[in-house]
Amino acid sequence: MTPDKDMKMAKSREKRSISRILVANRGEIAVRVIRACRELGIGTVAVCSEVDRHALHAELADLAVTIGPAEPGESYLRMDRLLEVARETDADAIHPGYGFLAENAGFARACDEAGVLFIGPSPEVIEKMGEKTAARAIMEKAGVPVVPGALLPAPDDEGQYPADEVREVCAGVGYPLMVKAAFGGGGKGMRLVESPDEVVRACEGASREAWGAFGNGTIYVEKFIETPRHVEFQVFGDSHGNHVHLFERECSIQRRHQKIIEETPSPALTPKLRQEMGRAAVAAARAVDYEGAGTVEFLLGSQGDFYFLEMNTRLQVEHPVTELVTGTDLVRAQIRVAEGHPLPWSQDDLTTRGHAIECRIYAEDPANGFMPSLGEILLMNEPVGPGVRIDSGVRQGDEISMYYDPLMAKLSIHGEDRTAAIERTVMALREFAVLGVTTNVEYLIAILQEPAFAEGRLHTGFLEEYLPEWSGDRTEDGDLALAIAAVDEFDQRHRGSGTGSPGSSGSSVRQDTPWRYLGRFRVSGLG
Amino acid sequence: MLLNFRCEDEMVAVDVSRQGDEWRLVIDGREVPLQAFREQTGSWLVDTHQRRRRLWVAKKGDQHLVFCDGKVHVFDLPDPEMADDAEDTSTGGGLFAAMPGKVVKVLVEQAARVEAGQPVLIMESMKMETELTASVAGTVAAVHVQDGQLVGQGDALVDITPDPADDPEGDGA
Repeated sequence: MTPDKDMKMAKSREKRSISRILVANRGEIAVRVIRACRELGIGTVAVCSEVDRHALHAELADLAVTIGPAEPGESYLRMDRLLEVARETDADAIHPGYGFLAENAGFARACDEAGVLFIGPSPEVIEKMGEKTAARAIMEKAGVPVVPGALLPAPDDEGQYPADEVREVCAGVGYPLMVKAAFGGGGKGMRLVESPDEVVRACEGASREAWGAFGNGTIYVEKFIETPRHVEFQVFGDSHGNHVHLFERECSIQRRHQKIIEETPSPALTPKLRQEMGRAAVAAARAVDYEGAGTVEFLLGSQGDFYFLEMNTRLQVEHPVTELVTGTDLVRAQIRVAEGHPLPWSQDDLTTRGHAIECRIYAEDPANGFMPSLGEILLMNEPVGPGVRIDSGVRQGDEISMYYDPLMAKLSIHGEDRTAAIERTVMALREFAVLGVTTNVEYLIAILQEPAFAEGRLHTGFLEEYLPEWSGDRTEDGDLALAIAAVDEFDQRHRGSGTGSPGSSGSSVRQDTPWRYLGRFRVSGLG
Repeated sequence: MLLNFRCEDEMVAVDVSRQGDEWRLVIDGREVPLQAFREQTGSWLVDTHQRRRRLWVAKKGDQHLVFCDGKVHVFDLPDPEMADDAEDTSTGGGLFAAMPGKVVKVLVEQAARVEAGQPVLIMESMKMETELTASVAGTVAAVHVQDGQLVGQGDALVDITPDPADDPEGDGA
């Protein structure tokens, strides 16, 4: 070990207890972190934009500070404001959640310089893994297999790519291929390209989207592995040189390259393959001396061939499924590791039990191009019961605004085995009532009830293959629903105003929604 | 009580009366008995075919929203006091903003020819880009927005004059 590294390790090994955490995020993940802090007796500071003053995360924290207007660039992404608030509120650590500044090395560095503990890996590691091309090189060197790909020539000042050069590079990689943001993630700045005709426009679009989402428009191309699975491994490291994996998550069910259903264990892994991939994931974490929670994403081909996709240097949205089957608390572990404690588990301590599925409840319309649905949540009923976990960032009465990701809540289910978990998930979704904004609940049920899903035949193109042009079906129970609409109206009028269904008083503004009515309802006896 | 709901474009008359938890509904002249009781604001318990079910309801303006087993049903109950002037505003090939957002790029110019399905405009909302395509083949009659412009829900973006059904110019021949 070099003296330099020795010093660094010695420094980071110092224990340092945290008394107050500033949560630099919003929505369900901010709520999740605040809850973990409460359990640990750690104080919490929430930050919020002007439109989030009464958001759940702002109201749950010990202290909430409004840091700017709704636009993320004016609030949640303002590093200077965040550090100022940390100083003013005596917060000694910052938890970035996921998204926003979670994978921004500059922010991690600014925290270091301000003497505030950044809960996550070092800025150097974030930097290396954040640049997907550098990450690929590191992984190749560590013996982790990677997908063939290439960097693109830079665009001109107007964002135009040199068409001929781009086509030449892409021809070398071969079609179909993926255009990806070098500094991105979460499906943004990503395009599938089938032929040379579309490639230049796809590059421009991806680059623009990458600029908007990550502040860097650099893109690269990668060979597209057909019908692959997306299987990722949760990894964890501490400042004492320990690295473990907490098994896999299968995240193949994606719309527009964004995950909507995740589960563990993956129905595709044999114990042997799991061991092989887990070993590769730990090798990846070790290669960069990783500290804290991270995820190594792989593409898994149909022949059991797997390729390093990227490493996410943060907590994942879908971390609850791992917590459910391993019986761990990843946020708690993140905080403990940041304080300088060793990992609470060794690789041998870690086992899994049962099966877990997470569904992301989005305010969006799957029948209409997954268009986000905005407005007030007039009614929200979260399901309850054994094995049902809800991580929610909103409540009834809250507003879904255009400024942020439309993720409302996560439903995470634990069952004895995969079949039981699927059945339990469907039942819970049937009670996850949301009215006022359109959600993907019906769509999620349709996916889970697809025979190919039950058989575990998943791949990242699953939704396009099995549910193309999905638009739902409201003929079944349409008569019952109409009857209840009439009964509720009758009941309200006889009780006087203000006691009926939510939204009945006050706003009488006529609004159009994208719902299309489906034919005429059959009316039959309901008794 | 007689309620006139609109389901798609058809009106359905529902006559509703109650006796305790027993409801009597006459939907389009057909009699439908129903056992239902209000559990709390916004939720009803219903017994059908010896099965207990829970439904959730909310009102949004004239709309009745009903959540039943994961599906949302929408019924319009137009206020009879308000003149029903919600006539069809379809203009053929016009593109409107379905939600507030930002115009990233306009891909066509005035007087340009477009084919059905051709990308016309790129919109961004909630950090996601969406390509809007022409629903009909025709000619761009007007472009109301420019790159980078913020638009509100329902704003007109691009007008397209559809080709006449029978194309005498025959430029597609």
